[in-house]
Amino acid sequence: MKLSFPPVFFVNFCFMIFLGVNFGCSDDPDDINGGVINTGQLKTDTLYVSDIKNYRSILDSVTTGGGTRYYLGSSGTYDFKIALRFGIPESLDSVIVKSAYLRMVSAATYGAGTSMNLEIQSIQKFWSIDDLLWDRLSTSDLSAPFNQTAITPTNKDQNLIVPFNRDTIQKWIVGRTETVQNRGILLGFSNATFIQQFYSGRNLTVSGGLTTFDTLHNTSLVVNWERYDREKNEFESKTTYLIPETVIGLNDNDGGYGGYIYRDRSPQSMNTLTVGGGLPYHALLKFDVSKLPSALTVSFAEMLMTIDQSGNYLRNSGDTNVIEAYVLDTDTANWLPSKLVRGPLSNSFDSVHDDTLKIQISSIVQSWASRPSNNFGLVLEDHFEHSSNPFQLYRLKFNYDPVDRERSPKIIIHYTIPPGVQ
Amino acid sequence: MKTILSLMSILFLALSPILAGGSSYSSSKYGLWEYKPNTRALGMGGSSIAWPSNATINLQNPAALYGVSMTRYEMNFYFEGNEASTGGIQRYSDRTTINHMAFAIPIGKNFATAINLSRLTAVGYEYSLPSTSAHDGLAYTQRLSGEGGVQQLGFTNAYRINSDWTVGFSVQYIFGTIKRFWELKWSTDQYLNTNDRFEENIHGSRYVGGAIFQKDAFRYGAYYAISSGFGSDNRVVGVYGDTGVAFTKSLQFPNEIGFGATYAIGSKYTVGGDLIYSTWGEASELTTKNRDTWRLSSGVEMQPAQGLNLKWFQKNSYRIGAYYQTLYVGHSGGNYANEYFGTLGIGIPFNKGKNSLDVAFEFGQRGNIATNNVRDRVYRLTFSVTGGEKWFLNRQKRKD
Repeated sequence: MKLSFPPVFFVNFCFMIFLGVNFGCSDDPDDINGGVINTGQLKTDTLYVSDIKNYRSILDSVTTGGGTRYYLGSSGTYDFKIALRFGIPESLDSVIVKSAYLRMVSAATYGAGTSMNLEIQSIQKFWSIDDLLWDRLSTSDLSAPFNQTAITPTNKDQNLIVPFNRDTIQKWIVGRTETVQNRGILLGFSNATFIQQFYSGRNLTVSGGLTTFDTLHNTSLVVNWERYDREKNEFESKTTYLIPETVIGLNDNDGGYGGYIYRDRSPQSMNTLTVGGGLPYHALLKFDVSKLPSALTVSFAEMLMTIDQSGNYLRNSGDTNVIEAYVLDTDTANWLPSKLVRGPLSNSFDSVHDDTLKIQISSIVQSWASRPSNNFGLVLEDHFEHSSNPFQLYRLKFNYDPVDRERSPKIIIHYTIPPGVQ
Repeated sequence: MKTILSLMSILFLALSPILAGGSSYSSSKYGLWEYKPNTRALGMGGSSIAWPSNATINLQNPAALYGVSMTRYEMNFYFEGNEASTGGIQRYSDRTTINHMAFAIPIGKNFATAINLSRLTAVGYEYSLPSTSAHDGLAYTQRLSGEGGVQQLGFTNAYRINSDWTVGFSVQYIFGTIKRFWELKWSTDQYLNTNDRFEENIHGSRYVGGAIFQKDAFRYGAYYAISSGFGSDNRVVGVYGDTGVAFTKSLQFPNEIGFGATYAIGSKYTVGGDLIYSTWGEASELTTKNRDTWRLSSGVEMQPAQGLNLKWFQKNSYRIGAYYQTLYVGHSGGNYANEYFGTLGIGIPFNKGKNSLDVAFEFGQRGNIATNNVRDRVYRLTFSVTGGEKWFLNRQKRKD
């Protein structure tokens, strides 16, 4: 039997390759369509306030302990106090306190006011991290103010010296092992017209590659004391610097070292969209994208929001604030402080100096449209919260009005649909 | 089975390089209809419905399979040049592709069976669009390209009932992948340049029944093809590579009916013609509405001379023909395009007549500038080699 198939195939194949190699395209194709080839669709859609399924503003923080800044005073609708406890070391046994003062180093000031009375009260009850909330330390939990000092706004990195009651510290020393005697202090205020920001006891510094506590800036209690030395038959005089100790309920890894207590006397309601710094207001939005085709490719998507000046704090028209958008991985049921799980930063920050936020969220919208089940919304945060100045106090409020869709949040999406996909 | 089909599909794609240019008319849903399995028929304008197989395997009408005198295997490929023109601009492109493979076996005196893998449609284009486009005040440029097509894997049987009647039936699995790309570049960095890819894996079945009636010098043929169960698995991938969307879709593929006739003028010439009507108007399309199509083809074949001591050119078959067909898809302004081609062919027997080298040359025009904005001038050279082996024949027949 003569089998001729392989040679036939081989000849065929070689000839075909010959033709393919020797007759290539000679010109670049260009502008030849003439309307014959079906292009895809290039479309623009807008998601309006009516497409928003959920929205909320939350103060995305449970505790203010462990931070590297304290706030004290009052401005606008914000009030701040500071709760501290100084542990007494064994080395101070038998000393006689000659004098003491609280040294605090200014980090920033907010508000236009010029004065306040700083008041110090002893805390009478056992407290923990959970008590760093405005109403947790009631009048019955506090002593009468034992020290009042008038202070004025202090420039950055300037010391503020607050005289401290000598007898109070002496009691703490006498009862060192009896913690009931030392519950700490609350720094409060009266007649405050500004907010003073201080370095906390937790601030760190780096020198020679070593990270240590920043003793030049950290809040500390300075105790001048003397003790009779029987062997030398003389009084020994020294100064001890006490830093606030970790608040019970936190461990060293969490930080701690006291904390500030705040309230917003005109808090942002649930039905607002607020982004803030210092007090970390985060705005959360979830748009329904079901009207977008799932096969789209986003060329450009931009969210526009307008500023509601009435709800702003420490922000004037024309100021620059940089807002970042993160895709959310948290269902709306868990839109709660410290419960948010965010995706990576979208390539999307923009200033709002012209009172309109224009934030590019192309990749976020793409993910929503391609995987609607993963659409948990987005969260807006301030750029400074994650960078150079995380403690700057301010608040931006954005318009949200169901009957005014142009001034409410909206997303304009330019996208493509490939040829043949409906 | 799926693996084999996938490999075959890859083979077809790999050996059909899509060069820049191509025919913009192939951008339609299924592409250009390119069922050209029989090089002998191509030389006669594609006329084949009433032409029984002889040295080549004819499968257009399943009944025409009858006529293979021995086990035959066949493969064809073509080289095609295309000059596209809008009047002011001309672009030339070419391609080479394997088009058809078949294996046919005569069983007994009255039965023949065959399997074939043949291209049905082809998509191949790559063009830029005028750079004057704008969206929302921003200028952009586009580049459109497509590649692929659908193939036919057919199982065909023919049975000769008597000296007058032959019938045939074919079951065909239609499959193939078509990819379309749409590249869009913006004039600003703020917008993301995109390159959408839309892949369709098309699959479905076709059932074809046919018959040939022979009386004196006349032969009459007819067939009817029904399409069934067509659908596609689709995938869209945008510039964000991980955001592809997949979905399935049911599709419509046309039914087809064809009539043909031949007349033998003495022993030297045979003349024939076909008329094929396809219900493309019901078929799925990308955006525009299709129309039903018809194809009219006719040709003449001069048979080899009979006798000893013939010169080389006397042993060959010579063919000439022409065809006219309407295209199914409408384009700009809703106008439809047509094709008209002239054809020439030659059949060269070798290996004592058991094998045949067939060559067909087609030249014609697709669309016209006045109606369709774009005109294709097409030159297509098709080669096929058909081998023959006396397998599965009894001793007596092998001696014949």
